[in-house]
Amino acid sequence: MLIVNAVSGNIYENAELAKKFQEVKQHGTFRRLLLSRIEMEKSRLRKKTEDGFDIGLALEPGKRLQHGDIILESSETILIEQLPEKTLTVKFKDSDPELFLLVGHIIGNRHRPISINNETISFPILDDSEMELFQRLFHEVIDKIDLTVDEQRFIPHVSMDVHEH
Amino acid sequence: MKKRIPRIGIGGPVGCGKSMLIERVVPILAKNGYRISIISNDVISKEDADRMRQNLATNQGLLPENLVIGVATGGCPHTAIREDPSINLSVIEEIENEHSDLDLIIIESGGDNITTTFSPALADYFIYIIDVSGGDKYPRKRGLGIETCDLLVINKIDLAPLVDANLDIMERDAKTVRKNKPYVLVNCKTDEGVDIVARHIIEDVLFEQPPKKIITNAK
Repeated sequence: MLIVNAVSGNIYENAELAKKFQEVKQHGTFRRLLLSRIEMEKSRLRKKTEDGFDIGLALEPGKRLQHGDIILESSETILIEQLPEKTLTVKFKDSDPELFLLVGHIIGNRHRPISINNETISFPILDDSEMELFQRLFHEVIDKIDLTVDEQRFIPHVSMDVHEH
Repeated sequence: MKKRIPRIGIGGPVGCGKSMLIERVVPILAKNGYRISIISNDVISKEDADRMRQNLATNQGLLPENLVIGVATGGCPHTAIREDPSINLSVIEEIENEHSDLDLIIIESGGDNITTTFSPALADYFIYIIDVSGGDKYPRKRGLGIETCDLLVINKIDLAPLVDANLDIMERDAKTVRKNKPYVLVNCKTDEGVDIVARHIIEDVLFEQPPKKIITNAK
């Protein structure tokens, strides 16, 4: 098992690292570590890469992995990829603060993490059947919103973060 | 940088055997040389912590009495392990400051049924435990706890015939809803399956590393 204490950087944020990764990729000598969002939030995790290489992540407290993080250690190059998950997105038809508050309150009561993008609010669901649940919960304002389900790499808003001291 | 002591969260409904599982697993881990602290969350009482302290510390001497800590959350325990785990984090901070040579911290908490989860800031590894007396439908009811925990433990398998629960159905459904994630059938009364839980902890949380060396101030 390779024990990893730190990531080397992120290929979507570090151009130099991205270039280096492209060179490695051309030779096909890297491994993919596929993680769920919940696994991405862990600082300690044992998991095998797609090709069965055993990795023990023991990162510094509070460190959160990101899609595109790279581990360069012991001649290994490991790319971390976040798996997409079912996500429900609420798009507002009206710019109405009362509507925003009500929808936020209903989602919050279900203890869901949220993501806010371009005046939409998204949250993960476990099953397509939850669409019916939320249609009922939003029934008072259902004419003022659009609901869609898709698979995406869900990145929670930072308000969900809990910090250690 | 302060070293984070690996942490396991054990959650599940009231009466499913969370404390009993800890009382059975800790002796196996202690036999392997690992030093452990236990935090037990409850709404008002500290009964579970008192019982574990009496058994594991006072009677068996497997850990110091002051390392079994009861936390009265004052509200639904699940909030103290997920939405606002600050009370547990503050206890852990004290443990890490004063006992940095520990190998593992176990945090136990009841929760609001099948949706219980631990904040990743609080626990590195999440064991969700249910028991067969709730019926063999339990795993397929799904929910965050059952689906996303790192290890699903199905306890009290000896009661299955008494409550008409079919263990094959429970296993089949556990496999389906959890995809490739592990589950274990246990009977904490007889220790059946408990060694498998301990092995998961040693492999997946402790990375099969040997116990830390004891730090002494003696010169």
